Amino acid sequence: MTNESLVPSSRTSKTVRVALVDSGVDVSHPSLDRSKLRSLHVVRQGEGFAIRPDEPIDRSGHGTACAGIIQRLAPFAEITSVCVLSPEGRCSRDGLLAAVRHCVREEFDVVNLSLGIDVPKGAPLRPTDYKSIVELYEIADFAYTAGVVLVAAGPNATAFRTYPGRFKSLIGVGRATSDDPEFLQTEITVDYEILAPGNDVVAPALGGGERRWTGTSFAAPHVTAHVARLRAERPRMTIQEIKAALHALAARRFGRELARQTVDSTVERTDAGARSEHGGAG
Amino acid sequence: MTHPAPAADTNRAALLGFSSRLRDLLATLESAALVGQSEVRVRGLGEHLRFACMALPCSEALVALEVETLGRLRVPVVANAEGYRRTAVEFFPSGTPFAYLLGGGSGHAAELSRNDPMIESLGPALSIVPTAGIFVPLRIGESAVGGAALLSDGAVLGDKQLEMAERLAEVLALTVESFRTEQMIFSLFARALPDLLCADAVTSLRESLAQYVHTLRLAPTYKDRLNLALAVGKLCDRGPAEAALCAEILARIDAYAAGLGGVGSDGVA
Repeated sequence: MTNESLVPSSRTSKTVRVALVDSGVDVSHPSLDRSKLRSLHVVRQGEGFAIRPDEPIDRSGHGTACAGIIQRLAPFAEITSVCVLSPEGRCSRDGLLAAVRHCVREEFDVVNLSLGIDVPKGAPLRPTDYKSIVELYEIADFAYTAGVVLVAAGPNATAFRTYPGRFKSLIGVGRATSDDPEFLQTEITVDYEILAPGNDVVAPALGGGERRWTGTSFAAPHVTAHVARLRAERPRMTIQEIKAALHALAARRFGRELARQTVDSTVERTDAGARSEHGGAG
Repeated sequence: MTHPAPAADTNRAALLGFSSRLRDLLATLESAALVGQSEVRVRGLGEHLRFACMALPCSEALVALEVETLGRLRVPVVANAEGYRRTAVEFFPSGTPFAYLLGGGSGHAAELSRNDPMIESLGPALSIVPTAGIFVPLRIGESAVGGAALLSDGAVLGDKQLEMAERLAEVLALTVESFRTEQMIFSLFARALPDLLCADAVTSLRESLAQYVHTLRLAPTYKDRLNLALAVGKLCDRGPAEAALCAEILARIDAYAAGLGGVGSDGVA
């Protein structure tokens, strides 16, 4: 059952607002549409953090790649880059939490989180891990209630637990190998629930060109773009409906792939039969 | 078991002169011990990276560790399949993949081009022109203290190598963490000195230090140095003239040992 009162009233237009919590975005990159990009920055303020307008730069190159993937698949989306790295390239967990909290409070349609907390599966959680993970969990729950879709990257290695990608209140993403940027595959695991292209993904690089990137970080923006499309079509879709729609897209794709393979194998069998008959006749 | 109560401050006050001088001497010992540990750490990192170069199609591998409070990263060692070498390259992470790693990002692989701005600052440490790289964070507890880069000059680095690289990063982080733990233990030990020196201390300072030196697996010469430190400390306690004399004798011994060649200031006194 959908609780309409929980869906923010502002979410009725077709303007889709995407937040990208990452290393910043270099808006001067030729493959990016700067008119659709806005830059914010998490800065320490006293004991806490504040979100301020930022220079449109990327402090690592990672965020520009993610923005490029989103813009390629959902060119209509308005992307707000929320840079969590300090000028020295540092980011505390509290800074990351402040950034996600801001995105939820601002009711973005979808938030891309290619950053998170990685904990080795074999290692016990430390008290500080518990604190950050519980806070992330609460923010993710709040986002779910507020109708803000969080899309988070899962682990690159099976030996890690990655938060918040593990939480079931959001969409955890694993990486797959596919040349098709539309590729989606349902794979419900403890770590994530859907796969998207994350191996050798061609995306913008600092300096103006493009390069191939590999990592779940680059799979998550593909799913973010799919969510943006769904939100553009139906702004009041709930998170359950969005998840269902994503899995339906994956299933449809799988069905098409299966049908194609069946046709291919039938054609192959027919060809082989014809060749054999032809050979027999000869 | 009930331990005796700590000595009264009046008892301890008499030992303060001695303990402060001994602390100075221990600082020397600590520096020497940490230099030794640092050697072990570099060797550990170098060998792990070398192994990675043998197991993966990467031509060179390096770690970049943060220089505390300065915001810079230092590359202490670069390895290839043949061995490893030390470097003193330092750079600011901004604009490099390490900025994202320090920010909490996870490992990723990227195609690289000639004069790639993303790894320009690593150039002085490398002997190859990389065409692909994997960048993984080194985490101790909740914070990333640096990262490792596996670089190839021809082979593709991607999906298959990324998982292995993430595991390698765990091993590298453990090497760094064990070094930092040693540092912390020594600092705690130095802080506990006044209690260990008091008249009714339940622990023998000398035994504890000897034990510590043993656990560091350093050369026995450090033990001799420790004996000397204790003897000098006692002499210094007699007054400023004795302290000055001790300092002069130590300087002469050091100069003599250095003059022998190869023994250096850490040699047997």
